[in-house]
Amino acid sequence: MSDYTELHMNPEVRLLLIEENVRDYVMFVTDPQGRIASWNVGAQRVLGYTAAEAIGMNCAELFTPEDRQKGAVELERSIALETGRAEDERWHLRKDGSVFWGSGIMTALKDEQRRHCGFVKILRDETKRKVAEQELALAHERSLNHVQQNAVLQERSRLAQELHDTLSQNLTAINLQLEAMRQVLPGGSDEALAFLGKAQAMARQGIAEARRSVWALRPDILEQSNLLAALMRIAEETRAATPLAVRCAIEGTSMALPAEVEDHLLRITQEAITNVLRHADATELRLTLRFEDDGVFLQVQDNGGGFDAQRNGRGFGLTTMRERAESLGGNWTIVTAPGQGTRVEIRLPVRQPAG
Amino acid sequence: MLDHKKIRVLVADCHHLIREGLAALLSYQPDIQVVGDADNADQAIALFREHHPDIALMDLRMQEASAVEAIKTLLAEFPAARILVLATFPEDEEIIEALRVGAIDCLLKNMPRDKMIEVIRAVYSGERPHFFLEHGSL
Repeated sequence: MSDYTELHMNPEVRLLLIEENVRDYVMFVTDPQGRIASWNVGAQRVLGYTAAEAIGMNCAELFTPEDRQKGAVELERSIALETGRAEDERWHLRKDGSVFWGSGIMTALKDEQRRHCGFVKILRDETKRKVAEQELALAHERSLNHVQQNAVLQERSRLAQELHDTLSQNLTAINLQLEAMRQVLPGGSDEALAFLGKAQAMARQGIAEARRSVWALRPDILEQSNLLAALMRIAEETRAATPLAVRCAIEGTSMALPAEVEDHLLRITQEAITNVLRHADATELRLTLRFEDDGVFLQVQDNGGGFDAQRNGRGFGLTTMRERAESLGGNWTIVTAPGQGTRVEIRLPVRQPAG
Repeated sequence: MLDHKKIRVLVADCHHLIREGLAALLSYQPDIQVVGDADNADQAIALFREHHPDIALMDLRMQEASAVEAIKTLLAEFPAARILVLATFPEDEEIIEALRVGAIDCLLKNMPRDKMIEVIRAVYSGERPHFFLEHGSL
């Protein structure tokens, strides 16, 4: 109480400050420059400074460095001076460096001559409410993203199906009809065969383009599930449909990956497995997906014949795999030699979302 | 050439012109006879019962019933049935499932015709050419 006597306060404020033992509210008084002149129990409880430590300190130190830099301290004071009070909500710094969400008002104090003689600040710790609000907003945003993402996927899936079931079938029909025509053309003049050849080449080109579009539009497996489930499913399907013994290991703490990363990893896996089936003459296949601190690591390993990557690397889809990895800032390696099996490894960096 | 020496083939595809084109191409071979063509899975099953073809070519994606279900039905009834599925693209999702439930191989509708006929002949003579596993991604 002794500190209060140095200030000439109106009786209303004095009454308020008498409630020194109010524990739920932070209450303190500063001089016009912001130096703390009194400090209640609630302030000690919430901010961690004892009255002895706090008194004399500038209240700007209770603001976060970001707010100080933005001029929040001066702004609050000037609003309080102009209008008598400033209502505010912001993160405040505790003695131990942690923060709390303080919600309250700052009032300008006038002495009996109506001269400005300081400020009184009353705050409540509303951290719980603030955190709950933030979580709610985040959950809302996530579910909104999810809905949007689903809508996009659905639309892509619909387009892919249409390209596949309508356009591609019609082009296939044209191709087959042209081929049938080639068979029945009696003798076939060179000119007629040349026209036919061009028409058929065009139909095939259309089919190839449709195939690329369908493939680009439809990461089917990912649509319904995440990468882990998709990998398990690929492993399961490969196991069921081929003589390969397939083992699938997931290591590390799984985290959500950007859709692009999942998509590329899945396609690289599919390409690597196709290679194993077609070229490796292997009996075992091992898939390993490892979540690391700063990224994700995928390995596809077989015990097959291996090959000389320097000489026979083309046509194994190796360039495509490397380009996929590099397009995401990652790296791709293949370790193989004739008779040594093959190991394809991809490491992609994943930046953790901030916050 | 006597008809009974020919490879008797059933073609099922819901696209009229694809069915017709395939049938024309296959029939053109002296050793292949198309004994029926179906535009849906149920009809394919009915025609299979009627004609007992040596080989059935079945579109992977037909309206109404799926090829996978039709393959299961046919193999339950005719365990020796030789069924080849027809896919548009090698990435088509249901291919692996069709192979798993007992289709002998998967052919691509736009694969070179000679190759398609070669696989049909090989399957007829009792081989399992593994066309799809070896060439499916080409």
